[in-house]
Amino acid sequence: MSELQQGFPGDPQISALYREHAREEPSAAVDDRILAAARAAVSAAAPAARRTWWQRWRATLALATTLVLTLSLSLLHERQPDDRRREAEVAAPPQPVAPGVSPAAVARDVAVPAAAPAAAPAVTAEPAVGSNAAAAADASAPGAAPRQPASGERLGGQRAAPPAGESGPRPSAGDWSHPGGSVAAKREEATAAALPPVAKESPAVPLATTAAPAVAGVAPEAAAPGQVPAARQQAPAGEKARAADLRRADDWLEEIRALRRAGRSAEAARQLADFRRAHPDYPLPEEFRQ
Amino acid sequence: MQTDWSDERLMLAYRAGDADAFTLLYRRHRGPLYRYLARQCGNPALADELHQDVWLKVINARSQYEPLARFPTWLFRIARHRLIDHYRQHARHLLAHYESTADEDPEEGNELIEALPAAYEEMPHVLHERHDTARRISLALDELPPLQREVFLLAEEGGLTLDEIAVATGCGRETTKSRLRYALGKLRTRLRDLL
Repeated sequence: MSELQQGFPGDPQISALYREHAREEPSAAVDDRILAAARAAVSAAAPAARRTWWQRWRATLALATTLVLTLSLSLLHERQPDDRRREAEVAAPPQPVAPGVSPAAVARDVAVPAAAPAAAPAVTAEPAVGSNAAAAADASAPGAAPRQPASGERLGGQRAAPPAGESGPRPSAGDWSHPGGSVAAKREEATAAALPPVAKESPAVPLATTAAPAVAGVAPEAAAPGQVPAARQQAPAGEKARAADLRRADDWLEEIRALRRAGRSAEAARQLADFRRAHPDYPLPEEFRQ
Repeated sequence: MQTDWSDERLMLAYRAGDADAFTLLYRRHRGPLYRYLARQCGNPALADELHQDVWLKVINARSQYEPLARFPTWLFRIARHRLIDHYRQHARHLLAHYESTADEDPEEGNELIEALPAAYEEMPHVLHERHDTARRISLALDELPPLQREVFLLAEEGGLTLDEIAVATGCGRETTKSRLRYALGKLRTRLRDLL
């Protein structure tokens, strides 16, 4: 026995005899298997222990990043269809261009009525708005959404006019950050501004329903089924009145003609004066130059 | 030099990833552990299997290893548990003796000898090749009751002290001492002419 200790009942003779003849050993194959398993266990554990923080967590981080990106894109796509529909509402109505009227003038027609109500004081109160709108319209390509000067000024210049050549008012990054759909409200205003005046909403022109063939031609095109009426319903009463004032120049002139034909010369002259203030660059037909 | 290192230091080195430390450790203890298992189960092929299982347990338990006891104590304790598992599955009549903590009567061993599997030394081809002395030692060991033989082997092959044997077998020190005394007495009687 290797360690004889106090009280250990050992027998050195038996021990020596036993050790002398104890020769059995495991087979070499068993030895090889055990040693191979021991080395494999160490070599398999070594790379895992040597991995850095980044190596251990990069798969998790990559997965988390992918999820965040996917979620963000999904949310953006979820909001985009409505926005595109509104863009279509704003940009879709083809403006019937009267012979001899330039596209820029058409753009002004769309933009100016927002700041040019039928009432003369309102028009005179904002003479500069029309020129701003004209400048914006000049900068915009035909078919581009008209800039809404009044609303732009209300927003304190937060939104710049779309660059020339842009096919439509794409939402900028800042638009998405507006909570509560303020952009949508602006777009609805613009939609209302682009609409031709509805005769029954224009108290000053009782004959307008029969007067303007262009109006009759434009209205069905401008009003997408079920969309424009809905926008009108949503607009407050004040905005409806303003939308009624945002008449296009040729319609306005047609109304003035109707007034003259009806013998209401004084009112026709007043309307014409308002028209000249609102559209100083509009080439008047021969009959109104006298 | 690693060859001078203690078993515990080698095992700690292996835990840290040094495979050569394990090789040294294995070379030191492969023979004693194998003989302990072979003499206890009486079957060389089965001893090979048990021997491999025990060392695989050591490999897999390396990360939890702490040198709270001497390495041989830990190693032979694992071996003993593996042996009991084997008895539990294949030799329940022997398991009852391992689970008993009562001290043996000197005559008790006669019944157990008959229950033990035939020692491989008794097989003709082995007997023919083996030296007569070695065969007689082996036969004398096989005739010991399992618990007495276990204590003797743990002391001889494992180099364990009485206290360490008591811990490894889950018995008291005095019980272990008594078993060892019985075992030595029987061996001396059987091998008297060889001493």
